[in-house]
Amino acid sequence: MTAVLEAHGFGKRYRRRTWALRGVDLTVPEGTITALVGPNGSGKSTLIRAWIGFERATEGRLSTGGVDPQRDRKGAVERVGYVPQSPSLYRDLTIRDHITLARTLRDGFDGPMAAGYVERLSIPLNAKASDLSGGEQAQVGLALALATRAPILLLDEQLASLDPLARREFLHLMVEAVRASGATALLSSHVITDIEQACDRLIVLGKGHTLLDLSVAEALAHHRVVEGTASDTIGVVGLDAFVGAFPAPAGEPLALVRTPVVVAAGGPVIGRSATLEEVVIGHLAAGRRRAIDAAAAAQAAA
Amino acid sequence: MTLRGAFLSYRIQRFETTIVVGAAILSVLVSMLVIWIYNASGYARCQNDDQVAFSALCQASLFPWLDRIARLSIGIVPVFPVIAGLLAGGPIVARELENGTARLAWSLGPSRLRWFVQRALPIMLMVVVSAMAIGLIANALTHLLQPSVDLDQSFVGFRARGLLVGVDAVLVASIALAFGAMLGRSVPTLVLSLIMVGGIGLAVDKVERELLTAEAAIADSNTYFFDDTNLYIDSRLKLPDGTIATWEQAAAVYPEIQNGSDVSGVSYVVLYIPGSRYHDVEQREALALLVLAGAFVALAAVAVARRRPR
Repeated sequence: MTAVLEAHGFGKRYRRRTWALRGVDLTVPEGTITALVGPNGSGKSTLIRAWIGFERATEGRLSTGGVDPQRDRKGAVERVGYVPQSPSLYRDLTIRDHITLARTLRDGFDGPMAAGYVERLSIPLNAKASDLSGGEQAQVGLALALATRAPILLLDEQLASLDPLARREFLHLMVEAVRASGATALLSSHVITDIEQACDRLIVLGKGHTLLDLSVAEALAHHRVVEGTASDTIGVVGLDAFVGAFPAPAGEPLALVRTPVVVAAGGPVIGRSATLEEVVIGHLAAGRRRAIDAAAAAQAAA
Repeated sequence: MTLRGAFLSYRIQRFETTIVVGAAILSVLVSMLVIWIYNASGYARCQNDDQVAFSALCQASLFPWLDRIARLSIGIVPVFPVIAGLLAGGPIVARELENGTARLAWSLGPSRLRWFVQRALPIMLMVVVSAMAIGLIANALTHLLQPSVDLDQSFVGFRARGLLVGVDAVLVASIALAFGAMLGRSVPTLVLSLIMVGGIGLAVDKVERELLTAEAAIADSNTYFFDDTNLYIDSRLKLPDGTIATWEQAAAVYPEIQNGSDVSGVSYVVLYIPGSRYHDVEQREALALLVLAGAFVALAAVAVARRRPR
C-alpha cells in the first residue's frame, strides 16, 4: 500500500534546546483513517503542522503526498485539508463568508459541498463565527477542510473540544466523506473510545518517539491485559512480552502483554482481551518508563 | 484578486475601515460645508480684502468659528496619514497571526502571496483614497484661508496638503504592515511602527534638506522677502570670493564675525527653493516615499512567505 504521509528520522527542536520530537519514523498508508495518539507535549501537533509545511524539521525528512513540505510547501498545502487544534474562524464573518473566502483562496474549492456539510450539521450559513460554540466552529473547520477535496486530511486534536454528540457527528461526517472520496485522514486525539470506531490504524507517540504503529485490528489482537504489578507480570510472561503496567480505575493494577510473544514462548494465553484504550495506555506507560530509565542512565554516566 | 475577496478584506477589518473611511468622510463633509458657507455668504472676501475684513459681515460671530474649523481641519491633516496608516496597515497580518486566522487562510490557500495581495491591497487602496481625499480637501481649505496664494507655485502647507498626504499614509501603512508580518502581535506592531515612522520622517527630512540645500537659490537676506511661498532652507554667509559658507565655516576664516563685527565683502544670504518648484519637489519626495513603501511591502510579503503561523 502506498504511503501518503511519511516521516524518516524526523526531529524538531524548539529554541535550540527542547526536542518536541526526535527520530520519528512512520508512514500513513493511502486510504486509511489513522489515529495519532499521545499525551500532551508528545509532538502530535508539531508533526501534523510539519506535514503541512507550518514547521521546519530540525533533522530528518517528511513527505506529504509525495512532496517534501519544506521544499514545496505550496505543493503540500494543495494536497492537504487541515483542521487546526483550536478553531480559528474570522469572528466577524459569517459561515457563508468563510466559504466565499475559501473559494477566493483555493482553486477548486467546492463551495456547495462545504455549505452542504454545514447545513447537515444544522449550523446556519448566515451565523457569525463569533456566535458559534467551540464545537460548531470545529465542525465548520472540518467542512471547509473536506470541501478542499484534498487527498489528505489532517485533523489536529479536534475531538477533545467537542461534547459527545458533536464528537459523534464530527466523526461520522469525517468518516463518511473520507470513505466516499478515498482520501487519507490522520486524526490526532486523546479520546480513544471514538477512535476505535472511526479509525483503522493507530500510531502512538510518547516522549517524542513512535511507541506503536499498527492497524487497530492488529493492536487489539496482539495485546492482552492481566491483573497484577509489573514484576508479577514479568515473572509470568517474561520481559519481552511485557509492555507496561498502569493503574486500573479501581482494583488491582493492570499490565499489558504482547500476545504473539507469549504464544511464541509457549506460554499459556492469560488475562483478557485489551481495549484500545488499554493498549494505548500500556504503551504510553512503557514509553514513560523507558524515558525515566534513559534519563537515569544518562545521569549516572555523567 | 476578486471583488468578493476585496470586500471580505474590508469586512475582516471592519473596525479600522469604519474609523478611517468615517474620519475621512466626516472631515471632507465638514470642510466642504465650511467652504460652501464661506463662498455662499461672502466670508471668502474677509480673507483677502482688508476693507471688507472690518465690515459687519466679517465681524459676525460665525466667521471666526468657520475660520477655526477650517484651520482645525488643516491642522489634523498631518496626523491623519499616521493614524490611518497605523490603524489600517498594522492589523492586516498581525491580527491574523494573533487570532490564528492566518493558519486557516494559509491552510486553505496554497499561495500565501495570493492571500497577502487579497488582504493587503484593498486596505492599502482604502488608506490611499481616504488620505488623498484629506489631502485634496486640505488644498481647498488652504486656498480658502489664503486665496491670494497660487498653490501650484507655493510651498504653503508643504507636506500637509495634496499628493504627499496620500503617499505619507501609504508609507506608514506599509511600515505597519511589515512590522505586523514580522512581529505577529498588534500592540507591539503599533508601538514599533510609530517609532519607525518617526525615525524615517527625520531621516527623510535630513536627506531632503541636504538635497535641497545643494539645489537652493540664493538671495541677499536684506532683500529676501520671508513668506511661505518659497521653501526657506537656511541662512548662510557669502564670502568675498563668492563662496557660500555656514556661520562656523565663515567664523574659522574671519574670527571677528563672532564679535558681531562687519567684515568687508561678507554678506548674509538666504538659501531657498522658489515656489515655482513646488510640484517638482513634491513629486520627487512622493516617488522616494513610494519606493520606500514598496520596500516595506516587499519585506512584509517575504515575512508572510517565510513565517510559521501560530
